[in-house]
Amino acid sequence: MPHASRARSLIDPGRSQPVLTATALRANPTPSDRELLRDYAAFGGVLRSEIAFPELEIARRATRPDWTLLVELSRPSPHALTPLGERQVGAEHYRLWRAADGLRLEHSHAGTFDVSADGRYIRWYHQREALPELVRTIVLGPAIALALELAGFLCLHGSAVSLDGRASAFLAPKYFGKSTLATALTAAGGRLLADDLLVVNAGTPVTVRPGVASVRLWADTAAALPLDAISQTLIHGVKTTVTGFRDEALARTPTALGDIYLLSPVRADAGAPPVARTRLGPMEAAIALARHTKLPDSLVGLRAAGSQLATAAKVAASVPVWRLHVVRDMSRLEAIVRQLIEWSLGNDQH
Amino acid sequence: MISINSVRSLSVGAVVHASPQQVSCDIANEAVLLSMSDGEYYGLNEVGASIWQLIQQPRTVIEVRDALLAEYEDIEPAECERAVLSFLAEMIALNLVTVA
Repeated sequence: MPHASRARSLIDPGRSQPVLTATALRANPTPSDRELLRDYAAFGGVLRSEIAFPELEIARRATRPDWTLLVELSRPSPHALTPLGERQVGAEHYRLWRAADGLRLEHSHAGTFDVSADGRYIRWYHQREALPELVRTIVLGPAIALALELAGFLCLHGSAVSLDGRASAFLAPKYFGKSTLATALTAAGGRLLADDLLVVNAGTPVTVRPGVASVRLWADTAAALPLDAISQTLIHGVKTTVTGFRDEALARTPTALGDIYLLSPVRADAGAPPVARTRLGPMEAAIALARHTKLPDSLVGLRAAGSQLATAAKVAASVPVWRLHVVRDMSRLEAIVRQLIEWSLGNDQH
Repeated sequence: MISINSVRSLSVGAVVHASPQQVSCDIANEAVLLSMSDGEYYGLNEVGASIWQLIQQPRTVIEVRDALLAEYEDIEPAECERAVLSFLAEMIALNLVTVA
């Protein structure tokens, strides 16, 4: 019998929310910053920027930048704009427009960002009152995700760790523990690939690009993890930012994607295993990936949503997608990590 | 919402067509649809995906039924027609299919 199954609502308020915070890591970018052109390593490429990014590593060798972030002191030009979509996340509002020469992203608190049609240039229109941490969050989140999507990558909201050269990715809304799992796996000998913005190349094989070498954790979580073994820098704010990762704790090259896990926290009942997984069928997996895109369909519009869905289906057809039932209990984190490593290394196929 | 009346009101001579307010893709003989009218994803099983493929061009319900009968051997014509009508009524209710 023909059958249409209804998936859960697309618009997930817990997804990809940059956090407004009063913790400023650096003074607000000013016109003088235009002199400060630096090359940073990010998302498997080089970001040349007129804004300093303390959370990014300086690129190790000079090369042509993949993306250039420019600070515009003028007001956004009044292009002929076609609205694509919008999104409200708490007090924050996003709007996306198509312009003749690219895309324009407006954020209620960080200002306007233009992304060129080839994705190589991002222009931020300087806004004095914008918090610098938020501006950087928008650049390293939705703005660069737009640029990456224009280049054909699938941008998901998740984290990933390389385990013996094979990536395990974790997708979930905020507060589900994907950063905790990624950090714990890194501390157990894995190599951090990405946190928050997961850039997937749906080629053969499907690979994950290294993202930003930085993880944000709640203070109590950070205190419970052996961070000294993997990181040289902790920045304490609303969350603890773990950065300055040691070389052996980072994956610096695209890594084949072995498994994708959709986090499904469960209560820690007596006798229940700390972690279990159930494989999704291709259709359910494709829908799940499409629902975890960094750029929601309500923002990017029908055409881009269709493109994201097609890429998600391609990934779901070749990479196992699992629902990961994981207990919310830090005291069992070690057992969870051990099981994930065993699955990744192929020691346990259940 | 699907109902007995909505199935009854769809005649076998009606011309049905996939709505333009959606995007879809095939995966492993099944299909996934994203509706722009409600922002939801829908999964179609193999038979649903076959119907979906057929109505990318306007077709009557009878044409859809006959095409399925030619494709699937183990189904009675009356049962096939009921299933097609029920499926299409549901898709119409979801604004995924239009009736000319």
